[in-house]
Amino acid sequence: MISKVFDQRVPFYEFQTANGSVWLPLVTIKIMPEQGHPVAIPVMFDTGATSTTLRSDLAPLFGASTWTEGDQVECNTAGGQVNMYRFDARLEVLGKRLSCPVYLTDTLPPHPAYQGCLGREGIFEHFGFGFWEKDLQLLVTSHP
Amino acid sequence: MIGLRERRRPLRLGTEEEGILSMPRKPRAHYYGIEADERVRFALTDERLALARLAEAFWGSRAYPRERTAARSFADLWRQVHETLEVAEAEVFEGVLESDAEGTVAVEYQPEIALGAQERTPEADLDWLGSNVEELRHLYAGRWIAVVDGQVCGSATHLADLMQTVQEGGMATPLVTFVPDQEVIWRTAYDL
Repeated sequence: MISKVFDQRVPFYEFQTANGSVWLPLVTIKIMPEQGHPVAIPVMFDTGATSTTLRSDLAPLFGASTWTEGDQVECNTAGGQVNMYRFDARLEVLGKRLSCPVYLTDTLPPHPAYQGCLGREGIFEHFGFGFWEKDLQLLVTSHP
Repeated sequence: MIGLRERRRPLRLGTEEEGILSMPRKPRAHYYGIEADERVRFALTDERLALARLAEAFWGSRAYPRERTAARSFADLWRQVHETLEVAEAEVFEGVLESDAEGTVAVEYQPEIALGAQERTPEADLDWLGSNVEELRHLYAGRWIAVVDGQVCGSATHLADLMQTVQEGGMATPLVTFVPDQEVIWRTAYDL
């Protein structure tokens, strides 16, 4: 018998669209700037993503005027190889403050519900996750 | 869990009849947004006394930068608590303050203190976004928006301009997102 204890959950948010409801597993991450107020952005919780990838026009949140100020890296994605730019970020994710890399790309389509994908690198190791498909429950422990 | 109760310093209160708040060092007075000498008299029903009581417990518990903006309301103070502390620590702090408040501040302010603790979060704003996304597309297509407490508090074509509005307006942790002016592809593996 394996028993795990979870202390929070990643909610699925309902979005009303012209064609009915869509449910998305979203997380708000706080981006902590060197100066000024933090801001929160919505991102899709994505266990299949190696790293956290955000829209290129979020560069000002990381102290850059353009996304190409980051370190250029080539990444393999489902759609092929793309250029991304890496920034070191200070984030608050699911109640924990973390320093981790984020990658900006111009290949993400604009979307009001999320500004990118929350991926594993530098983040998932601080948590444990459990998923129940039947009732769309994505549970989290902060003490893996 | 962190022993907040042990670390914070008690605020010296006078008798209930007098309603005296003793502030031993004058510079601390500016924390409360109150012009004051060493000893300041309040009616115990004064909202500021309740606020000062909670602020002292918070600032007394932390090595807190003095230049921090003074809390002007319970909601302000709670916002500062959540911006400064880890989530688990903030929850402990709320519990300590709510229980302390029962014995130290006027009854009429206790519901407001509790409401301060339940202030809206970016997650609540995401809920609101989900219910209003089509209307937002009509109003803000092609713009970045900042949402606080279920209201759009700023919008701009460029994110850098919105960030300037956020900083100048002192918005605490707004939810920032982009409202596309083109058709949104909603269908994903998570559709029901």
